[in-house]
Amino acid sequence: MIFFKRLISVLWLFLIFSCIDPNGKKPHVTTPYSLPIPQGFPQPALPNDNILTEESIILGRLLFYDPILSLDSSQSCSSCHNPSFGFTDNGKIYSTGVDGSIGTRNSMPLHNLAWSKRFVWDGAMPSLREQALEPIQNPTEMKENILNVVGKLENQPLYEQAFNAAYGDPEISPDKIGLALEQFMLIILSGGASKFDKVNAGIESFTTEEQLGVQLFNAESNPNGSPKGGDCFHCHGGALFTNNTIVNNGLDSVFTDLGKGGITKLEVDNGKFKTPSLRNLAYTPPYMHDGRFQTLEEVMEFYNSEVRSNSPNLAPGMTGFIQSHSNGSQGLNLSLSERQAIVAFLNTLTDTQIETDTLYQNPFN
Amino acid sequence: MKKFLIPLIVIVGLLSSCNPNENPETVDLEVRFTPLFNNTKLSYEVEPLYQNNTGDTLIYSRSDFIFSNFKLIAEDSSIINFENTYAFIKGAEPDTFVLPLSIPSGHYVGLTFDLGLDSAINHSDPSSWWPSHPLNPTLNNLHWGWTGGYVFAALEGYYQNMGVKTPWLYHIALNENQTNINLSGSFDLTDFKTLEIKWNAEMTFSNLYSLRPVIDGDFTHSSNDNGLASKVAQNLSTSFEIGVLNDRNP
Repeated sequence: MIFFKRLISVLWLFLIFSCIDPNGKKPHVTTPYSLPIPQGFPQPALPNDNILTEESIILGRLLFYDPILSLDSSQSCSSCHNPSFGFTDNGKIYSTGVDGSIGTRNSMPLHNLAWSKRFVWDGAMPSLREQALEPIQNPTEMKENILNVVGKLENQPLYEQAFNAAYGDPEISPDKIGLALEQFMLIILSGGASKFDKVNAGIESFTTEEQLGVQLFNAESNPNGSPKGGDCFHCHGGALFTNNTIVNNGLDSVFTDLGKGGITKLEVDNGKFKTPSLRNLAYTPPYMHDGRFQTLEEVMEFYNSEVRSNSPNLAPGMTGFIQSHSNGSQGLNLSLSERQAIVAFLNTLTDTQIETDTLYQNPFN
Repeated sequence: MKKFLIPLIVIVGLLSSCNPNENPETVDLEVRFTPLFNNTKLSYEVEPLYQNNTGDTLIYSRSDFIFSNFKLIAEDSSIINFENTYAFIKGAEPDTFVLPLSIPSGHYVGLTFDLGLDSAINHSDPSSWWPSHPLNPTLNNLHWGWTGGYVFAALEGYYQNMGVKTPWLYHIALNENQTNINLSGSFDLTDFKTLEIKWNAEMTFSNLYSLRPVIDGDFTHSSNDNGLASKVAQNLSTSFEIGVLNDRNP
């Protein structure tokens, strides 16, 4: 019995001493952040090695809005991903880098990336943490060496505190910068606040035109019959309004931008680009990877009658868009009013909260 | 003497529990999927494939499946049901799935499963499935939103139409196309094994029905298609077969 009591005492002492940091520091405590998944969205596969915390999200937000990340401290990530434009570049076709260089692709919106597996138009980036560091070092964008960024951040007391809060250590590294930016981008959501979401929740109703747009959006191509269909939902279905695939939607017969093929060097991947979400389209003109369409009406005209049937590697899912119809043309054969109805429906996906949500705003303002 | 008896019993018990030759009472079964075309491993995207029976030259770019209602048929005709087991198979990157650890060790003569899902599951809330679940839409990319439930088989590719590379797409969906698949075989599941299921992809076009994209249609989303999806589903029903059974470490 005495032996047993002694054993318990020893165990207590062991437990007490094992909780004390040998350097006398307090244990690092962070605040978990639970992503508020909008109603109807699938459950996302968030990275297990970068658990969301309030401290890392705050750090990521600081970095996202800080021009110190660019060569001459003139541009931040938000310069080309402005929340007032659905995290795109202020309506521009192409973005301009710190030295005046012009990019070659339209700035993509950043909402709902927690559900995405590949990033940027050609899907070259397998993770947000890797993507986050690319524009910083891209010579046509922020044009800065990532090690210089580390050096500049180390001179800022703000970042010493922010990195310490996020990681329990003020040391700054490129990996930590990427992880923090990943956290901030993962929490940017669009869902629940649009008219579409409110209709789904029974709070609002569609107009007659919007209702027709929904029907056409969810109906298959039927150019020679009635009712017609827009065949949109196969690639832009579900709560996210994208299937996140990388495909050729038939914009061109000859490619000036190889898309995924430029990365894989495979001919079968030429002309393939990421299928974007249709949420917040009203914020994000112009459209397509090269910003060739200024309006949704132009986009609808393309899908109605201008999909290139001879485009190499045309996605099999585009077969419905190149059907011949009785007047000798090819395409969906939607009338002007039917196309307008689809546009009216697409505009119900506008979510003004992305512009105003304090979680996403510039912390330096 | 008595004081040695209990330790002796314990030691004998421990030793017998370590006997490597003893079969477990229940096992699980790992299933591996092998897509073939004319008995050769199916190559996606690139390689033109010649369909001997129809004369078409084809390319597969996608063959994704959702399976459910797995049942193992024992030698004595008893049936082991796996009611809540679903499998998503991405043909171009086939992974394995596991029928859970509830299979009585023994000899089996058949495996049956459904291509597709029962109506209740097909139309259940897709947001309820956890991220790694086969029915999570972000994982399988086979859900049609609020309109039509899941696509049970997404088969896509290209065919030569008068010398022009032309896309084909057969998406098999809707409850009427839920299709039972019966596979006969003879396999001992007295230990942990991996069972290969072969899929003969050429049979999509030539099996119960001969289907030529240029004549019978090069796309279907399972409605308004003159029965094309139903014919494809029936062709698929006998396009699978049992392959090899290999030992594995659980």
